[in-house]
Amino acid sequence: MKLATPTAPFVRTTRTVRWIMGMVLLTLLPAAIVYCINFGWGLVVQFALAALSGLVFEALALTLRKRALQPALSDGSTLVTAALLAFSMPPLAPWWLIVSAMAFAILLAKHLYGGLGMNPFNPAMVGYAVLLVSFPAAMTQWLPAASISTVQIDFLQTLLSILSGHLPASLDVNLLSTASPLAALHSGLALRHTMDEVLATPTFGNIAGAGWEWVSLCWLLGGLMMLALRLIRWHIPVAMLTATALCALVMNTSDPGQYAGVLFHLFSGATMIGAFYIATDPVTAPGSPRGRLYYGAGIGVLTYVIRSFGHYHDGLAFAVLIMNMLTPLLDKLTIPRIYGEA
Amino acid sequence: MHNGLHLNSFKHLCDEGNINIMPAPDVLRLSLQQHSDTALHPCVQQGETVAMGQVIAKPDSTLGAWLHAPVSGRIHAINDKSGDREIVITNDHHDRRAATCMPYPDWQTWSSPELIDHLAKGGIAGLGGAVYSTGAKISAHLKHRIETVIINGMECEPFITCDDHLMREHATSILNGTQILLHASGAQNAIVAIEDDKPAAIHSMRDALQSLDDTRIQVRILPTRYPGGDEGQLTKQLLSREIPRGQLPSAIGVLTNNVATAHACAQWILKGEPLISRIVTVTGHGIHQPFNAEIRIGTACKDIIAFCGGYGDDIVTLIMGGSMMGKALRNDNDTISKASNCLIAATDIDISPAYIEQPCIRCAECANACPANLLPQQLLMHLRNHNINAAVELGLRDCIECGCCDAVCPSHIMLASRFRAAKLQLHHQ
Repeated sequence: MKLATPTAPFVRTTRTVRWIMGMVLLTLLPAAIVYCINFGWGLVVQFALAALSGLVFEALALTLRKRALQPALSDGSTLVTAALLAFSMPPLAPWWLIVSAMAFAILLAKHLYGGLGMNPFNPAMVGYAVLLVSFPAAMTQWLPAASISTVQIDFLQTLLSILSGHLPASLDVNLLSTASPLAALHSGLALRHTMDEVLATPTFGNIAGAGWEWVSLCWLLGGLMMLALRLIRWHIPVAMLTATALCALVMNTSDPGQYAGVLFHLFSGATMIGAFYIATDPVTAPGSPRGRLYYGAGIGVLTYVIRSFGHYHDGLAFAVLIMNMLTPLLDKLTIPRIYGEA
Repeated sequence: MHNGLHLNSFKHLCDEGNINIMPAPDVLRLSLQQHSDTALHPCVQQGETVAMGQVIAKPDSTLGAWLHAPVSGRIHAINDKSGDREIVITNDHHDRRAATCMPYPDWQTWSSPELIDHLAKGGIAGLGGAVYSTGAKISAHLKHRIETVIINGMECEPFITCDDHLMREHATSILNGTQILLHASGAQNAIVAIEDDKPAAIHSMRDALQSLDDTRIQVRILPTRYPGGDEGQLTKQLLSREIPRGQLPSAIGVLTNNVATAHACAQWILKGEPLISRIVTVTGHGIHQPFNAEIRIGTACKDIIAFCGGYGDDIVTLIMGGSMMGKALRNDNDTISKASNCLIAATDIDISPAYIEQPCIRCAECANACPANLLPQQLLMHLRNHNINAAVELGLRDCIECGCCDAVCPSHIMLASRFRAAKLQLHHQ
């Protein structure tokens, strides 16, 4: 009789990293569908580009590092990075933008530090920040939501536009320039319009931007699903949303003409996807509950500050990267009290 | 306790029926490493005839537990040199009792040191797993004043039901043992702690307590959650106090003993029966008839398996102990020691398949599960970097090796076994 001699414990969870990543992607599905309904097929093409190029970069890095391909390629982490970047890209951004973002994310941010689990910075946010700094114009060409748009672009037009780098002829470039609600708020206020005037434009929808508020709602829904499935814990999203909301409340109360309200900040831009899908990346976040509260709150405050006072329309990516830098410190400062410790 | 886990207990496999008495086999092999606190030295010669209950090995420390012949027969061989130090006895199947085995009904007139000394001579040791000599343990605890004796009937680890059955069938003996331990330690009160998944045992213990009418003793029911039976978790739940790091439970006036240890105390003092057998849960889907049986120390696993009808076809691993902290055996020649509470013939229904380790994604589920409130993912990082001192600073020594971290890790990293190895390395430094 041949007996296997594993070491205790002999009971282990059936959850795997691949299952977790797969479930994270599944919970993004409602948001993806609503996104496509509002902004066309761009997300699908961007995700396909990001996923494919990401896996190629992953394989390249693993080969250079002389590591086994199969475990890392099938763990699903690259697909999650791809999905987060795809949601961050203007739908019709040319193909080389997201491919180069994935190159920075996978080759530099992830594998230069040792691959999954070793990277100090969120790979998707590194890739996104590189694009935002290097190609600010291309990165702000958002499409208006279908509900307020006069132009509809089908899948083939979308694909051709992204692959060729030329916008469809039917599309007016002016339509693109200020279509994101956060950007519109920036430019509107810069032109000395009042908050009420800016918010009255169709871009702003009901509370936080036509189309965007629905996508944000789906991100929130997906986030709640992840909490229910225990894919993430509550500390980071609750801390981040509370911090952003508090900042918005204080500033909006003090000067409603200059600063948008709580709901606008919670449901516009990357707040929701950030709170549930980006800030919760366990690799780059602190491990202790207390550390995660500080970390989430830091991201919430910084996002608001960069958004409201900075040059960039949204602040999430930089907020996450800054707090990533503080993660080792937070880990050190928030070591939980050991059993029996005074 | 907010940490720890709800585990699939598998206790139903071995829930029904009474405790069997397994006939002693023809040959018994008794390890000379029975007790974790001290080594044993043989005090019999090869070829010598021994009586059941006769002392065959003594420890080199005072108050260490003695070792007795579990059967009458002949000393077949003594291996005192290297490797598996053991005494081999051939059984004459007469169970002729040694004259030295006599009851002491007047124990209440004894002093505490006399009683402690006598417990060691009866071979009494902790039967919950650690196997410290009970005499030596009480003596060490007496540096502080002991107020409360906790009698541990939690049995939180999956598969194991021997303490459950012991409480069902020998409740009075456990309470008598509790009285002996109260006397030996000078404590004022005792708490018998039982997890709420053992209604029959709770009922039986409460009935016995009512008949005994000893107001010093109470039975307390605690929620079922692994590792609720850990000494530290138990004091926290029962007394809302934690054992200070690196100190004995007596630092907060507590002495903990297992229900089986209390039973063994009573058997020795009141009936004159030294610790030569123990109740073992033999379970798992890999054998035909799981059961609890009273089995002599030194019985080989293969004899036990044969007694319960042999293996099924699909046994993968043979585990001595529970599924969280047990040890996988290389073969079934290993014998029952005082520590052996459970033998699992495990199939892939009982245990998880062998997973390949993936990188740690720092999800901190291990930290959420850790009952000692450690950060297993950071301990792992330091140990991988060969920085054992940093791991010690983060509480490596406070790890109770319960395995909760492994059980929840989605990367299937073997954490507890690394911590075990590192602690062993510290111990030998």
